[in-house]
Amino acid sequence: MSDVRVSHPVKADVPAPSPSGVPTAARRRGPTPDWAYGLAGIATMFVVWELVVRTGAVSADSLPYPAATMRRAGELLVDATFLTEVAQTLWAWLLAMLAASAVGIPLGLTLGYFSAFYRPSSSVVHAGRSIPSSAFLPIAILLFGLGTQMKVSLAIYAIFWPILLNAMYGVRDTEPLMLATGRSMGWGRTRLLTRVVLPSAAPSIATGLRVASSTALIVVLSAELLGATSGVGTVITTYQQAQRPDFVYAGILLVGLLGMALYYGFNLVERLVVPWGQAQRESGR
Amino acid sequence: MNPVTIQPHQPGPGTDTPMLAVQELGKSYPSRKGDVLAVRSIDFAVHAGQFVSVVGPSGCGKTTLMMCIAGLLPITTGNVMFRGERMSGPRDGVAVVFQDYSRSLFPWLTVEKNVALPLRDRGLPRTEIRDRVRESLEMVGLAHAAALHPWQLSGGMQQRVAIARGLAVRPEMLIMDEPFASVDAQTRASLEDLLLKVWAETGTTVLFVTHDIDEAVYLSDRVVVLSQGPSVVVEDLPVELDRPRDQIATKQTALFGELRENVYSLVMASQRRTSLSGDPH
Repeated sequence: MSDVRVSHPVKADVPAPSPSGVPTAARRRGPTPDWAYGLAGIATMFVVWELVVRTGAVSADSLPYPAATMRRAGELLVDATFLTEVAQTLWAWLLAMLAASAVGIPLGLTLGYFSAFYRPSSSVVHAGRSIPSSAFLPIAILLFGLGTQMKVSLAIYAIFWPILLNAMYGVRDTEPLMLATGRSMGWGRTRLLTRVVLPSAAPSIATGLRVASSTALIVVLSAELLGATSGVGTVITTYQQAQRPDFVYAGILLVGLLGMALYYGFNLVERLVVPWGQAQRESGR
Repeated sequence: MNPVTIQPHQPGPGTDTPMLAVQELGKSYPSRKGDVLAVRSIDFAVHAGQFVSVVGPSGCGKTTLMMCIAGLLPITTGNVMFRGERMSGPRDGVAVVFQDYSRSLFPWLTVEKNVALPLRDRGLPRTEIRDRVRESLEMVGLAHAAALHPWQLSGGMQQRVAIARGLAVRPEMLIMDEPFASVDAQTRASLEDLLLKVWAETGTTVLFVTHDIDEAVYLSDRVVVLSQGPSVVVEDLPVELDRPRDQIATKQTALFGELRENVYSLVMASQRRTSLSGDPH
């Protein structure tokens, strides 16, 4: 048996170069950094856009040139009224995120932890999240009018479910062997909860928040486009009524950037706060 | 290699009292069709300082038995006695190492903090904890990895962290459930030798559950052979191979071959018996 030729003082085995075993920092040190690919994608989009307008496939009246749009976007970015409306949108987004998390996370943790609650509540949750929040728009307008309250309430409805569900699943998916490990060290219920259940639910909760952050922005903007009286969405509709497609597209572009910034922001925070979640996903669990 | 100084544990109050006595242990699980018997009746004892392996065909309830002995599952019938006292749950002095290291180490903690976990809540001074953690990591050759996270290590290294965590409490008994079943053959051989070295240094009693017959014979003072589930003990075999053991030399001795064959035929026989007996369970 030559394959088990092991001599006596056993030496440390080196970390295997498996995808799961390599530190993330080392993996990111590839020949082409990720952001370069991202940039290439955005550049391609602009080239296609330019070609579509230049060839006349879409008339410049419906879709302005990228350069013109960028100029307008630049103008909007230094326009105090526009920035105030951006702040309005973000404020509504923030309020919705805070309120939905404040209720969704603790409730999700509770429902996931007690198996007696889990099944009954999950049927309600799945029914609830199947209803698009836009279905509540008329009711929300009746109840709250056209102000921030209306936008926030719609967004809360939309993001409450993913936040709740991810907290529930996070607790539910706690590794039984980790609980057994804790118990073998003599830990009681409270210690198991704080030392095993909560940290293992954290990556899932973070995922819920990341999903919710995109959804909340979409819902807030939709409410603004459909009738709210403040926010970036109202700026876009105003320019639409003034027949200024260049400003409309500039607004859309900036909204896209805002969404992207939120997404990458959440990704970064997730990597810093719950790095083990990513490690687990990458090792195929 | 640094000499690691850990005092061997004192033998129990009466030297006749075994460290661990498993008495007519039975375990059944409730199911929709009534109770399912996993373990029928198991009897064996482990004396202080011994290295005892439990082997059996797959599905014989080894893991269930181990969880019962560790106090992690309630037993249905019989007793588990630790130093003559009835065990009713996990207790200090008994550390458990599971097969699946990737799911028993906490990924949110560094290696060092994982090893320190069982030392918390014991009112130990900070420096004492630090020393013990370093000592345990040195024993498994991982002092350099203290600041890394488990998911940054290879499988073999992760299992060594799990072993170090078990050793940190200076356990009287270490219960190991197929600890080397998910690593490759070479890593496995080196982990076996590492375990023998640590066992010799610490004098900890080891109860080692495995499905690997060679591994059981190579490591142990005694091999307890279980039948197919619902399991009973079919044989309790002393292993009188010289120590220290060697992966090549020990396995080439005639005695090793005999013992290996003996255990193998016992396991196979029990497997055949149950598959022919037509018991629906």
